[in-house]
Amino acid sequence: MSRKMRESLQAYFFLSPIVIGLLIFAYYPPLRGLITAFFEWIPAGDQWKFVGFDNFARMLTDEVLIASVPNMILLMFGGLLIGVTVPFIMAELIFFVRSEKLKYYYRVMLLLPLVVPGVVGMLVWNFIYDPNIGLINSLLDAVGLEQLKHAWLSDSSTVLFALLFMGFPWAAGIGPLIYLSGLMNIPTEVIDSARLDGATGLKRVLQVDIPMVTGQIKFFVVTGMIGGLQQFGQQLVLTGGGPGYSSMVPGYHMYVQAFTYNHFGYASAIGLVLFAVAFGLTIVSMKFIKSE
Amino acid sequence: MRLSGKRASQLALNAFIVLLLAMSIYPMTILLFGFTKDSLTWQYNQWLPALPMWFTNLNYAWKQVGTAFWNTLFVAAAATLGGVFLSSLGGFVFSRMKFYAKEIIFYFIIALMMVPAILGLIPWYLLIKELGLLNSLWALVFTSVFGAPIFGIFLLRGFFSSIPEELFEAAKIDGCGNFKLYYKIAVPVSLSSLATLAIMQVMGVWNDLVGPSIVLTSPDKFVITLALRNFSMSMSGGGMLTNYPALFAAYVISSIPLVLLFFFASKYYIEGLTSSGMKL
Repeated sequence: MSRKMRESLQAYFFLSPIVIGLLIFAYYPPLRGLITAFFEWIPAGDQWKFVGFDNFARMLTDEVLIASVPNMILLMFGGLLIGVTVPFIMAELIFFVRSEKLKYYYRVMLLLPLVVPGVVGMLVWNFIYDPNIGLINSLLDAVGLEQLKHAWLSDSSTVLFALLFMGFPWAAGIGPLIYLSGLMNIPTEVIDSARLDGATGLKRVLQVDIPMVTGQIKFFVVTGMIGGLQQFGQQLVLTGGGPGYSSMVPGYHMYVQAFTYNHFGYASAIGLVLFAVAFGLTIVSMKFIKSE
Repeated sequence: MRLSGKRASQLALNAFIVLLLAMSIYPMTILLFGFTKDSLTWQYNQWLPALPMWFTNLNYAWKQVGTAFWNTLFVAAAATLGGVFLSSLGGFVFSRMKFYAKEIIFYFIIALMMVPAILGLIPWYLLIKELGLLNSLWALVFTSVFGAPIFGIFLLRGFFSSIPEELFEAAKIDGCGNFKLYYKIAVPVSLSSLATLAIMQVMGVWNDLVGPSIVLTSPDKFVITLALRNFSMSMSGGGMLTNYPALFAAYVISSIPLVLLFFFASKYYIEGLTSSGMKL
């Protein structure tokens, strides 16, 4: 037996638990999702019935689903805008600090919000939005703007913006750190020669820094779009898609269809469409945002 | 004049950064101020610290989330040990061993990064049901352990490839086999990358809500996210009477492990994030 053959057998042995685990827990579910989208589950006798494209046809007349799409688009693009720009601004601010020591402290401070579980972050904002004693309404009271008070999360005219506004001013977290790692990788000669050419301050940011972090921008755009399409944590914890269906998103509709109504086939079909859209958007943005 | 102008702008810059950080962190400090207040103090002072501090809220909150706390700790520990072991072994194999179909198997693994989770969510539930793991913490452990290598191998293969070959040569001459090279050399020199991955695993478990909400049904099996959501829901509707200090005490309890984790490992995490180059 050749040396490479021997080493191959050993490598396969080491990789076998990973490959077997991935086949079961990572490959099987999405592949099965492709199939169950064309079936519907019959509770009586735990059976699956082939229904062709019925599940997809049903989506076209599902008013809740149709109403949920604009909500998702608003939340996704709002989230993208915030998630791509604010961390970059924060990273630049820290990058412009001269003291290396302060820079390091700021980077550690950026991580502080991560020590609180995400669910807690949402629930604290639930309290900030509390109509009676929440921070926002209390502040409005204090400055004499009572007429602007709202039950932010249970008023259909404010709920989407309230969900977007959560986490304001969005300055901490790993986003700025990822941008900073890009900025700190810019060779000093590049920055020095830009300075000689008169590119300092905002001019340098636009002409030197942004082109050097397009890889990171692409990362945030792609992950933000995929995340925006499939996230429904806020609905699950805070709004339940309400009031009415004013904060419903397709992902949460899928969840409810599956786990409240046991429409597993129909829910899989929604999942399949969301997957296709996410996949398409990924390909498109990979193609259109150029990075080195 | 010029120098002091520069100094003034640096001062303004730092002040602005501190303000932004403070505003981002303030919601958490409300928790810290709030969880030690009794209900009377709370009525008059919701936003600032107050004395005396009452720790009875912690007792009450612990009764609500204590079991879930231990459950989550178990899942996080098992998912981290298993996930980091598989990822590092996989990363070692791909960076240091020569074998047939290496590229194909590598892409077979990392292609999964491109598959949005939503497609698999419902069949995942069906799978867990068929494996008889409904309402079992092992459902979460297995999913997390085998989810780790998808990104983990990608991260660690890069890191292991950058280890100088001489380190391995010397050990090979001493007759070390591949597995020994892995745990005697590759692992000890990459602790910071492993720590990054470990933090990601713990955070993933600690923040996971959707998965547990599907497969865990009885409160004695709940993980922390579910217990917090339930506790908060059972309290809400109280309006003015909502016992927020008790809720906040539960939030504080749920954060303690993450606080400890970051206290000991944030340095590695920052290094890992910086060197792994999160970009596309």
